Amino acid sequence: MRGLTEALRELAYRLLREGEVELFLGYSWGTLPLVVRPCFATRPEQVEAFIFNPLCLPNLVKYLLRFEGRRVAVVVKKCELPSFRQLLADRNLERKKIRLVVAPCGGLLDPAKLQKEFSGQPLEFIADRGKEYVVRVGEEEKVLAKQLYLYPRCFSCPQKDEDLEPEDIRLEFSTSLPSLEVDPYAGVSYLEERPAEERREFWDRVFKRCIRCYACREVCPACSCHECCFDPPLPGWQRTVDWMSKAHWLPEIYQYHLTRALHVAGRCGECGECERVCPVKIPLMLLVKKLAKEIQSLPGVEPGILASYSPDDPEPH
Amino acid sequence: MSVKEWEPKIVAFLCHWCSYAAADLAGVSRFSYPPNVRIIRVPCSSRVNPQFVLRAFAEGADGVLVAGCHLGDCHYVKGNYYARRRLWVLQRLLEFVGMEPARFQVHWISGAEGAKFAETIKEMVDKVRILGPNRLFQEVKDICVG
Amino acid sequence: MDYRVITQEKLPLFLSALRQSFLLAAPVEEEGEVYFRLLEDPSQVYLGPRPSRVPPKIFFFPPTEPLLRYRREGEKWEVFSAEQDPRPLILFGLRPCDLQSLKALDAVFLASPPDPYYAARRENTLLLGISCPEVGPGCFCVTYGYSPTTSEGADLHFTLLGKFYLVEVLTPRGKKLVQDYASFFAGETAGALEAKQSKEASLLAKFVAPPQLTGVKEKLPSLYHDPYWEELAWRCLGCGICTFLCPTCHCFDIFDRGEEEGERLRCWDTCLFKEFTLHTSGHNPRASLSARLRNRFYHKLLYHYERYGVEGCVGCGRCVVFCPVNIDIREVMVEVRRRGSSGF
Ligand code: SF4
Ligand code: SF4
Ligand code: SF4
Ligand code: SF4
Ligand code: FES
Repeated sequence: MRGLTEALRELAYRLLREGEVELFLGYSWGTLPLVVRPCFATRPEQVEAFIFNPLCLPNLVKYLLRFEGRRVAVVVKKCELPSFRQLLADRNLERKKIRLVVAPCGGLLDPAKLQKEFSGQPLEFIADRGKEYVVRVGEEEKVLAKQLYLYPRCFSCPQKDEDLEPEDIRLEFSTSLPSLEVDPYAGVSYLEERPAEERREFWDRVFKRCIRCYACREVCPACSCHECCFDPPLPGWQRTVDWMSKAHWLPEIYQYHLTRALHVAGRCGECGECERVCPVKIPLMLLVKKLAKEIQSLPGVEPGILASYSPDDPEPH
Repeated sequence: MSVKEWEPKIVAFLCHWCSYAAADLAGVSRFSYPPNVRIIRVPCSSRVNPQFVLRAFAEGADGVLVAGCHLGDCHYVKGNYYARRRLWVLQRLLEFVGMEPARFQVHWISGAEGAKFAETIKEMVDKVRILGPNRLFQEVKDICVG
Repeated sequence: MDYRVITQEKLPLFLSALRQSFLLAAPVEEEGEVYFRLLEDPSQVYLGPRPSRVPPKIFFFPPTEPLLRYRREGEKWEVFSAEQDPRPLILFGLRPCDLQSLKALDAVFLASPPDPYYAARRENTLLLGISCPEVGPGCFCVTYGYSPTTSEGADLHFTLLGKFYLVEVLTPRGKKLVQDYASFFAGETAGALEAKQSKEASLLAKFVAPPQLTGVKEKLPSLYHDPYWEELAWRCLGCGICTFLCPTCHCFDIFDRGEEEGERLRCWDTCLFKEFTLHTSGHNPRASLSARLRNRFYHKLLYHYERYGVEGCVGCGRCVVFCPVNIDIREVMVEVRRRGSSGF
């Protein structure tokens, strides 16, 4: 990884110094163990902070909206390309001002799984060795099998980086993801097979935890509306008609989550950021995956599926 | 509210050109149907944003019906095709979170089908009555939130 | 102050006994994370190192508080007062930072005239604190001059020392509780106070470079127009996590839910949402995310203290740990001390 980090810094340095981009968007270490955070460099001397390793979880593409019209380079992983393309299309971003820097990712390391396994011990990431991660646990270096500590989204890694522009940059570094045979809809199918009553209890329990912080929406690249239907257009007491009140009660919470799931259906790139940021661990990906699964079964599915139709669509009951 | 006095509340979104006319016809022709339904007239079934349905449930509906022209007869040519896809997806989602299928129904009822309208309402009310009050989206005021 | 001890085995029995006469809430694990829940089975209390994700302010300042109910009959409006659960509540497992956070909330809600809803809930609730078993990665209570074993604010406070807990009896209500449930406690506390002190010392030794408070308040005013806030806000999502999970954040919005019949509700609000300061005219004095984020830190680190003489942050570390993009108030404090100057 060291070589990769170095290559990344050199690239950022060059692009900023030569004025090819005004901003380089990447990752740096955060202030907590195993935490990596988004990092923004506008001057060549700032590039020393950049890193790339399997703890670089955040999807940075939505930040592009904040710098619309500026020349920006952004580090992406392959799995984030669908969300990038969607954002580009939805918000009509100027593609030629954006430089994608595709990082060679061999699968992300799930810090939650590590913390669970080695709770209470100091943890430090050392290296990605293809089939294994090397992590320092306390005083000891441990070699951990990748598939046991892989971040959930990596189980459905697209492993492709097509449709890049000639100006985009692929960082070369040998990495590999062990081949994984998993059903991306396993969680959805499991829940589908439970009795309706149990499904309701499940969603009641998890939704009751929602604090309506809207982090899931703020981070979502498919939620890029200028005005979201959940943002009240008028201050407090003057509101008469709203989609729903600010109460943290189930009717409102269900409305929010089901609406959002429908709004992003067919546009969601399954980057999993909504689930990552949720402070009360609501399994939001179950909803979007459920819809993705249903939509795949529709005939003649095109982009914007819910705003299109086919004469052969199934009948509602 | 005791179970005895509970009556199902059905919200029906009816397209102006067909199903609303069918409701009218049912009235004029004196086909009887239960009074549990609150009708909301919409220009076309495709006017029904899924959020309307969610909001109706959140505000206490026990069942929601969307009805429009038969496929091919939509006044706006393709409106009900759009509605069909969208509402089919909404049905899958509602069932996934545990709602009983009978609570949210979509039917195509032409302006001439007053009897079919009355029959649809009657059947729906009967089914929802058996299911009881809608418990999904129900208010739970628990002191341990978050 | 009065002291008792209770053995580890007897603690769940004591909690079971409390459940007979009180509503009892404590941290438990739900799907692997820690939340305050009404306790069904006292053996499920979570006593480990992680603090609850959602702070116990929900019991005093709930996310949704009905203030009154109303109904219209023709031209006439009828208004009813909202009922609160009258059953006395016991909260077990409050961390020292949770207890400190109530000082900050009390300053807001109990200042004259007191908020009747908050006051009634405070009055109706007994606070059973517990010393932290570990120092978490986001914790910086020491910055504010207390420690992971500080009992201030509790009615009873528990500190695990080997196989038993030292119980500090801090208030008359706490005293009544240990008297009513005397059979669970022993009065022999020889050596326990010293043991608690050495436990405190060993926990304090675990803080690595906690941020310093000196100079922060003095220097903040000079940084109001500093580009730092803009750069920090680049990363910020503008979500409500840091404020909603903060045990001392207390902003709310009031509105009516229901047209002909309904409730007037008071709900959590946050300065990070763009409509928070939206005026009727459409003008928004804090239109940019950087202005909103700056406001949060000024409020936590300066305004709250200026207005109430009580710190607005207690160093619980929730915002540090749960911010999805690692915006860390400790780092902000360091930056403020580095960049700012005192006076104007
Ligand atoms: S929830 Fe819907 S309206 Fe809101 S931002 Fe997302 S897609 Fe847009
Ligand atoms: S991030 Fe989690 S808690 Fe926040 S609004 Fe989304 S689901 Fe609710
Ligand atoms: S600082 Fe973090 S938690 Fe707070 S609003 Fe910004 S992104 Fe959300
Ligand atoms: S500002 Fe952060 S550390 Fe301070 S009390 Fe609030 S959540 Fe805890
Ligand atoms: S006009 Fe009746 S469904 Fe479109």
